[in-house]
Amino acid sequence: MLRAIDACAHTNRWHARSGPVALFCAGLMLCVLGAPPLAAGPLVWAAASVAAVMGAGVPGRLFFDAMLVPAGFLLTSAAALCVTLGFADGGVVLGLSAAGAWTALQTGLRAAGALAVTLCFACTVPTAAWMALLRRAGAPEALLDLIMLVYRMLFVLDDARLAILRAQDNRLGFRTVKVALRSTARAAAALFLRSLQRAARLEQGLAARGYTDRLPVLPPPMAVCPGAYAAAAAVPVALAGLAFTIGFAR
Amino acid sequence: MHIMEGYLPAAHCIGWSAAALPFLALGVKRLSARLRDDPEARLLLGAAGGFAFVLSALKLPSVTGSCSHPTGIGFGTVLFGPSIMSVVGCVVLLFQALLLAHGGLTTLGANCFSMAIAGSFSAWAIWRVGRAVGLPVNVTLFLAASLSDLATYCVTSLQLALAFPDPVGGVAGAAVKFLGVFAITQVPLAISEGLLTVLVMNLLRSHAGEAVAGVLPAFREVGR
Repeated sequence: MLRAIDACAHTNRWHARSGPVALFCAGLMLCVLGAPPLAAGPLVWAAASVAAVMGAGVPGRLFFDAMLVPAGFLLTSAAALCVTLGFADGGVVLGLSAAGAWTALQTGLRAAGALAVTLCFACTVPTAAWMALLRRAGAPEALLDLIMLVYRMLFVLDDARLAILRAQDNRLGFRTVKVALRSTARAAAALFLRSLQRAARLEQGLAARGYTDRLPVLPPPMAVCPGAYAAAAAVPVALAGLAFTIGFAR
Repeated sequence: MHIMEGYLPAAHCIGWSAAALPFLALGVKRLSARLRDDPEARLLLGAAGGFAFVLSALKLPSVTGSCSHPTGIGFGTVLFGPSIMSVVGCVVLLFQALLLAHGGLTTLGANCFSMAIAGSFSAWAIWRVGRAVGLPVNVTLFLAASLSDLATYCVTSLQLALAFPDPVGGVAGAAVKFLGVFAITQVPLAISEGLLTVLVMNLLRSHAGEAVAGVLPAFREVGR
């Protein structure tokens, strides 16, 4: 998923329109957090999904598969919300709660909408572009440098992780819990050493090229008209209006 | 254990972000100072962040039969210190939210507070106290890694309880509920991460102790 999302962010139809897409996603996020969740959740989920899949051309399978992992957290915690727990006569009293189920429904819809917005952002805005937005917003340089360096390391180390795990798996390194724990520790130690070696080699290479203390990255060229910003702002405003109308009508 | 995107109400997202901000500001200040004094540490910290991210993709077998992943917070805190590890942890959480759909942007403040701040500062406190009272290094490492995981899980449960108090039992009842529901995965995970951290440090000590200590002076204390 790591590579698929990153590759999609660099190749989708909107990759050169990061400004309006970021505005669109920020608007949708405000809408889903601020408007009545029963209406805003499904509306924002649909808008973000349609925008990502049909507008930006994000593969539907990637977009919807990415939602499966958070669904596990959602189901577990929703179960906890549906149950009430009180203390009476020195003991614990458990029961089912209609109010808790109602909260779980509202929270689930809000979370689904917000998750679709984040995935829409992650699949359409390349890292260099959102870092440029953060730099423009005044984020500290040290933090931005760290973000960029971590980003550069991720894929190299992930390749190493896959190679190590494949080799361990081929040697039956995960056949029991005890052996699996030892194999995982070996993989983590090897990855740590590789990350140190990689940092040392990167430092030497950059020093040879006159590196001082900055790693500037050119953001992708932008091809944006004012109309794109207007449309990016109008859709969340319209959805928020609709969500509040439906919410008050109930 | 990360709270998923959009799960917390807006006021709680803002509140937890505000609570995390002073710690992160302190971390960024220390990070800037360290990078000014030692520019080569920049690449090392980048590597540490990349390592912490990739750790989250390693499956960790749990005694309940399920699988989860290590956080690397205890391991990183012992080597890099809590202030810098809180910033590195925050960056890792950001990439997990964007590239793995794990956690979220609106819940980044809450997740930072529970994992990167509460986790790393508790690991640091346990490590310091353990060394001060003369506990063996491996026992202290195990306690620092596993109890910091448990601290993360307890803070996350408290965050959820504050956001969703139980209609009958209030915040206390909700905290017991969330602690109980997530204990099935989180308590075995904490024990597994403690064991994993000790095994990793032992492997590093026996195979690459001098090399690691050459780059990370803090490793000398772990290597004793």
